Amino acid sequence: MLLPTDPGGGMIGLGRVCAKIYSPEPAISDERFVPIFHRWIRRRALGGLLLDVADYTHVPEGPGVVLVGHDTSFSLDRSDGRFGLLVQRRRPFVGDPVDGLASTLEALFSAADALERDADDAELRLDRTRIRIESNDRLRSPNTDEGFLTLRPIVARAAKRLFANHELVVERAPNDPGGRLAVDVLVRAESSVIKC
Amino acid sequence: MSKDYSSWREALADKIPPSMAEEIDDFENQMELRKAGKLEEKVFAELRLRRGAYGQRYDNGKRHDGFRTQEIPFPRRGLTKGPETEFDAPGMQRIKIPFGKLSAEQLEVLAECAEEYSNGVLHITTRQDVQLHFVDIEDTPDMHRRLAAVGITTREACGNSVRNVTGCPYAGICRHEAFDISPYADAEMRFLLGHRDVQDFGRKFKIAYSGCAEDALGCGRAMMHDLGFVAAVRTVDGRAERGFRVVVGGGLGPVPHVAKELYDFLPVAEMLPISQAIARVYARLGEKRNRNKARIKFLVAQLGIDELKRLVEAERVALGSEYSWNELVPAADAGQEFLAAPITDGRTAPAPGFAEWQQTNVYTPRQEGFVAVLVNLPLGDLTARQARRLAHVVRTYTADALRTTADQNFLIRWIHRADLVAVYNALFDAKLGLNGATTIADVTTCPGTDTCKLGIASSRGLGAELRQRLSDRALQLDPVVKDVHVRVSGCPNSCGLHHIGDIGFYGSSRNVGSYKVPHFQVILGGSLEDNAAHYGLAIGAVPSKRAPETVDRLLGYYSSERTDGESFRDWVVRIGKKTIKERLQDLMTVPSHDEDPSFYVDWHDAREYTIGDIGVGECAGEVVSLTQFSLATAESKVFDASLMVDDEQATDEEVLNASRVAYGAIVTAAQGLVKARDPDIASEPTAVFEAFKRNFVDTGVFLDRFVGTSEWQYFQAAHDARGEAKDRDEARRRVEEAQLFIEAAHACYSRLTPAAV
Repeated sequence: MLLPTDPGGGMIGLGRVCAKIYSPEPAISDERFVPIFHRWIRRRALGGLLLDVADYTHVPEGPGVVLVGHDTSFSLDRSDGRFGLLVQRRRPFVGDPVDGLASTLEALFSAADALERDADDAELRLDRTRIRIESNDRLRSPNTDEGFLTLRPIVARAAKRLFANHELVVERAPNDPGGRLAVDVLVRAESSVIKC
Repeated sequence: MSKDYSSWREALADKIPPSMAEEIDDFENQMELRKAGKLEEKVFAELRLRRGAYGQRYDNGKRHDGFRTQEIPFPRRGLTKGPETEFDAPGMQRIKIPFGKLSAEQLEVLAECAEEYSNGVLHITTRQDVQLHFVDIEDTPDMHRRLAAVGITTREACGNSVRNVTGCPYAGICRHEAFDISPYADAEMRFLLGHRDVQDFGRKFKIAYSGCAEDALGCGRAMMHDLGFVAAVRTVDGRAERGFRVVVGGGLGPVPHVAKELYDFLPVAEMLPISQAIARVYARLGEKRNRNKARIKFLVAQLGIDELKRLVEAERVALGSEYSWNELVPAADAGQEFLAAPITDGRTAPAPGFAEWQQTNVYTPRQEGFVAVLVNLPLGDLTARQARRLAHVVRTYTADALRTTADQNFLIRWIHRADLVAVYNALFDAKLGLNGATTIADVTTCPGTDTCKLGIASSRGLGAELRQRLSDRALQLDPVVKDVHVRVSGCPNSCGLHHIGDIGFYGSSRNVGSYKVPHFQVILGGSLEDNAAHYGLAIGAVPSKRAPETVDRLLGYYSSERTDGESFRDWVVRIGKKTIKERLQDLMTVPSHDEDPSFYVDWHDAREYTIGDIGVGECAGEVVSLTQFSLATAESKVFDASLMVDDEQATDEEVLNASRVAYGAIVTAAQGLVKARDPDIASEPTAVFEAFKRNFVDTGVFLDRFVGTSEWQYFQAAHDARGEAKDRDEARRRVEEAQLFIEAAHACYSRLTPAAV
């Protein structure tokens, strides 16, 4: 189904959000990221206010090493069983949620670029063509069909800002009903239309 | 949840008991007042602590980055939520789980809160609480509402109050218990929660219930608590009578005390009144100024147990029988927690590792046909996703039979034996099927330097390291060695319970040259036996990076030297700490920084070690008087009333109600002042009015040259009308007058206590 280029609506459908991109290499050791994250805090990297590093590598399929920020946190996450870089917007968006989500995705990609560079490891590659987005606000976007209908245009518009010339597929990611409303954005070949 | 709701407050309005909803609204108002500078930071600190909203490391706005201490540029730098505590700094939310009992629904809501307000991790504490870290305080009211909607309160989870009432997680299924303590622990919790006699303590107060005296597993741990109850049954005239051995004045911390016996047998009917009498004695005579001497253990030591008992019994006589204690104490045991029949036929093929898991994680209760299983959580952590899957297991195979344990695990009870494999398989799929529960690999730790303001060394870093090293070996070890318990605290305060570990560690620091080096004091000889009545003693400090080798060496000696059946503690006593220390002496040295700089960095950190990040702890809370609490509550009420009258969309009835709320605020403020003279003042408005007039108006205390006279008249007018207003204008005026009365009450309190803060 083709998404309208200006879907409209859904402006109150997103409070907080998580987004994750995946690494095709699942066996990467988390420990190497601890000094990188501490260095980023020291150098005030990534633009936002970074606060601390939390180590959850002892938790099977957990959030791994977390770089805790004031507005935004990053983690080398395995909580859905797959290794990747996850960004968590910790505070609700103020204003247009499309702006908020787009800036969160930009933060995710900036962190991915920096991580691939600083890890100094050819094995660490993060796939930017598949993005899992989870609404982290069960009041505004419950994990229901209605919630998805509200969230989808926001995601589509935000993704379009980052991938203006790509074909995008936005689809609901099936999960536990008690979990967060989740969608996948698939970034396909360059194109001028957005599909879902 | 429908998107039609604009807030959790609205969405859950009919699901939260009114009193809980009001308390949470009050807290939200107090937060707004604090942000507006209208509530003193120290008062707000204690108010939020009593809602379980705790500070966290670096919340003073400073953090050492390994090279220097950097200021953290929080957006509203200077706005505080307590002394030296930045408002915008993330904090910790402690959530009370009385005696660890938790339903599947409650666990699911906890998981939701962990995802939306924290980092997706739930942490089980050594007192059966749940903690969420990196929480924004402005999210806490909604979190509290969501928890309250499923029957969980965070009230008095921190601060100088009665903390979570803990209890043996095996209660009701234990093979050794006298009787199931669950309903009694529940009654105690409900009786004391928010009780007026537990609001004026100088420090926290911890209560524990144990089901048996010969508590080899140490599940109840009554002897290390401020107040402990150990179930007992005696026979009187041929009839079995339930009661408790009551112990008081135990506690760990830097100066550990083993509790002393107050009663060898107290009938269950006296459990609550005696608890109340003890609270009254502690509130009246306990230390208030010096927090280091303020726990009841110091009062017990100072008075002696006989004098304490005399005072308690005098209070008990004074209490009479006005309360409905007997209604609160249950006549029957806890409700049924098992399903009528197994879900499976027991022929399911087990997932890998079942035999090893069964060896360490399965408990056989006294009820035939059932099992209980421990869910082994590394360092007490699980993800929200895992929590939901655990809730599903609990719901599928039991009737909500879940408990948290003081060893930072979960216990699923009342599983039909036929379903054991199916339960394991489900846990295995959720990555919750780790074996080794309560073995040497199941290391207990406090949060330490990860998040605690008082942490000196990385207890969780060491705990994770020990866990990793010992997990693979644990199952191969001799059963007696395998059951040695390792407990790690980040500082001497013993939240990791190092005193009762066979091997305990607590964080310390040493100077080597111009560097600081993280160390751990080694504590040997503690034990859970006899309800955790045996504390270990320090034998010396080893560098943090040598702590794992220290454990290896101790286990090596113990394995080779122990006599048949000799416990680790008995081996320590037999060999002697002097000898053991000599054997560890070489591990107490630190190589130079040039030789091995890794010693100067703590576990799972990358920064050069410093103690510059240690802050002021909030365990002790702030000593805030009952009057200050009442004034803060009154402020919150009048704030609510002002919102009502300012709302142009409000109906006439809503505005008139604001007048009633304002009157309630005046009564609360007046009651607060009277509490300074009479802590037992009732809350009934006429009683407050008369007591206030007698104590503060007739004596001239409330009346000052500049304030007081008019404000007293406002009280009189509002009282004569019982808070009712004729119209919107009068309602608005009543709200303004209430605000002025509260200001006058503040001024009066300042005059009464010129040194008070």
